[in-house]
Amino acid sequence: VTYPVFIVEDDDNTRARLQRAVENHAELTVCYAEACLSGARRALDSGITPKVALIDIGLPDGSGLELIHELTHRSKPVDCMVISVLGDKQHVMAALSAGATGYILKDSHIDQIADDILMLIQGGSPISPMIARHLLKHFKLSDLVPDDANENQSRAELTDRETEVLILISNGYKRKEIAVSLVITINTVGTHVNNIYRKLSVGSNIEAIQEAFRQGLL
Amino acid sequence: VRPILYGLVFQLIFLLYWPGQASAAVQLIEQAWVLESSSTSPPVFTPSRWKKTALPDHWDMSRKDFGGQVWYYATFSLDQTVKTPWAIYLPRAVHTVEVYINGSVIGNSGHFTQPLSRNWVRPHLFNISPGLLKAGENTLAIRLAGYVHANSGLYAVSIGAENELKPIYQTRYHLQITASQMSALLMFCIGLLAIVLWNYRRTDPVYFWLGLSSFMGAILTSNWWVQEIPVDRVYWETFWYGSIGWYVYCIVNFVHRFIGFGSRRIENSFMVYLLISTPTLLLVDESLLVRVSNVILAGYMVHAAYILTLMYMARTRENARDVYVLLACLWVALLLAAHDWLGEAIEPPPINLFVFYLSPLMVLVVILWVLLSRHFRTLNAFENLTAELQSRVDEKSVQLEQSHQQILQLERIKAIDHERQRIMLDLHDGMGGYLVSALSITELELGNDNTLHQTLTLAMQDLRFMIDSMDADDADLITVLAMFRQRMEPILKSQGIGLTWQVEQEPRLINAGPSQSLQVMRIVQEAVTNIIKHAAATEVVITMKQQAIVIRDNGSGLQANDHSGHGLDNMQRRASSIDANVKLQSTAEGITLSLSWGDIH
Repeated sequence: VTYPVFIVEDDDNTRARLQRAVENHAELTVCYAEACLSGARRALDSGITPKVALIDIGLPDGSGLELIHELTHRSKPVDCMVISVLGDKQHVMAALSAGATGYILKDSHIDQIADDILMLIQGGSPISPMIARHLLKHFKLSDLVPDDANENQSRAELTDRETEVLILISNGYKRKEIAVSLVITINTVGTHVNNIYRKLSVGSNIEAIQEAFRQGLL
Repeated sequence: VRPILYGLVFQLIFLLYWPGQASAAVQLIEQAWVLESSSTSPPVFTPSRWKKTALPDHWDMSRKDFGGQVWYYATFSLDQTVKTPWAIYLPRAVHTVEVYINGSVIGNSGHFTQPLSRNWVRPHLFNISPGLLKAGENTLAIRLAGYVHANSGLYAVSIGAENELKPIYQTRYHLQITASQMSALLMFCIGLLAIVLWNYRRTDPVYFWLGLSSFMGAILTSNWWVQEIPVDRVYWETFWYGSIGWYVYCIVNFVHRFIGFGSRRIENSFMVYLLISTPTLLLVDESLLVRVSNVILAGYMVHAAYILTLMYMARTRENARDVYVLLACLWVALLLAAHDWLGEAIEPPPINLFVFYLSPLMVLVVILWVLLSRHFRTLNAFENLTAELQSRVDEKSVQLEQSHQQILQLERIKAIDHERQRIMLDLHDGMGGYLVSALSITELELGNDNTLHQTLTLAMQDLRFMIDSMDADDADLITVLAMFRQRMEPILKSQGIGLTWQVEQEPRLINAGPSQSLQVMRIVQEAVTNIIKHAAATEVVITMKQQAIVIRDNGSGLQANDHSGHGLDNMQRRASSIDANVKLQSTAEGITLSLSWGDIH
């Protein structure tokens, strides 16, 4: 079984590198690689069914956030990973809010990129300590401040176990260590992370996310 | 206070009924002959025509339905001719009186033409010329003109030395005339003041009615001291009786407004009663004037009783003490009225003073006192309220100032954060993008082991460290370190070094901030780089404590010929900039480097 991967990245070198990273892995194949938003939409309309989409945010004709939102809110959702240069809070949080379930770093080792994609497919979304910390803050703030814009939407709250997982991640512990410490399986840790990502994007408003991203308010 | 009050009341009663102490030299004439005659000079005394009468002679009792002129005749004898000035004292002679001694006129209290001089309660003292009195029997003739049913009459007459009679006369004069005049003047002034007050405070009609009632009270007391009236008696009596009615009307209106309730209908019906009843007096025959007046007066009394009842009912509504004081005062006024009425009605009439003129003044003073005390109570309450409000405003101002400062602080933090995000976005899209692009090119064209590629990788890594430190919030040193672990661990692994990560407590710097976090991370980075380069270790343990970070390896420790100091100077310099300290311990089991700092003050 090979999983079809959809790549949307405007930098030719990076796109080529990502393509190489995907094709190098036996279980992955590139079903389509695009450089702009409109091209990506055309490709999707033509009926391709990727398993995972790797999407850059800063596209020449729009924001990759829109594409992430569209793909993850379809009747048959596609797992999306945002392609980030630095894995910084601003990009990753915006993508997660839009519906992405992971991120890959542009300069990661080619093998690492393929491993990250496979890990996502197997249910273990990538997360960094910084992202975990910001997620913790995000949900804590949501608890305290009612969001007027989304007042009719019931805001998702983290379970105690999810909070525990996030704290451990933000303190630098790895999945394996967390699994041992909480006496759960590594897969369960991944499931928790996935669930937290889903909760983040529940009821999210793509326009608001884009505006916040543009203003650097995430 | 109580003994003083009792003393004053006793004093008042004493003054009211004390007839004046006269020595034996003063002769009191209590028996006289009387003749109804309009003669303008003393008629000849003939016992057959004259009737014997006792003094005081009160016409309303002795000669009911009589109005006109009467002559009194009496004799008195002296042992010897007098050398000191003598006088004759008439405590009361209503209305006009003229006195003759031995046939010669010695004085009068006004004129006998209509309208007669009004001398209702006025005492008279006439000096007797020294030559007029003789040893032996002397005659006294008194001409008195009065009206029917108008309290006309003559009190007992005293004859004696002027220096003995004058003080008695003066006491009575002051208590009846001077005091009532003063009272009228005072009421007029207070009334004026109340009206002026009302003019400035139209919303408080109590002052209007108080002022009006004062004017009416002043008119009312005129009966005590006005001697000559400018108009016909009927008009004057109408005016005077009317003033009593309007006085009661004012008090009714005042009480209604003072206690805050009362029927408008009663005010209006009373007004109609006054408007109809007063002119009626002008129409009735003069002989019936006083009788009709008394009937009308009964209507006023009904309203006075209404006031008392209303106030009694209101005692729980208004401030109870004020109402009780007013009630007591009104009762005293009623008592004084009753006292004066009895003074004319009892037979034989007592030689008392007529003191009702005190009532309007007393009522006025008490009302003023009640109004002022109420006013001051309100003022005090208002001041307390103002002070309380002021303190609350001050409190709120302080709170506002505090929250304003907090908002400023938050805005500042937000602005810094915003700026940080903007720089990061620029780094990401600009430098980061180029670096990644360059990395892919070198990787593609030169391979991974190329020096340029490795340098670019280091540049990328360093950029990440900076981003991480800036991405974190000020206190998130642990997360910055965690990011370091994530970035560093693959490198350690590739060198065959295992990493154990221990978070005992989240480290908290004295002054937390992105650059401080970056310094800590760089120290740790340097330590780890040293381990990779020099230590020949297989295991690194990084332990986080609240005030320290400890990095321990299981390498061979410091070598004797190693002069590099493992970059210790550099680390120490970095540590100093964040008020921290670096300590290196080397044993055969490895090197322990600890970075520690003090308490957060």
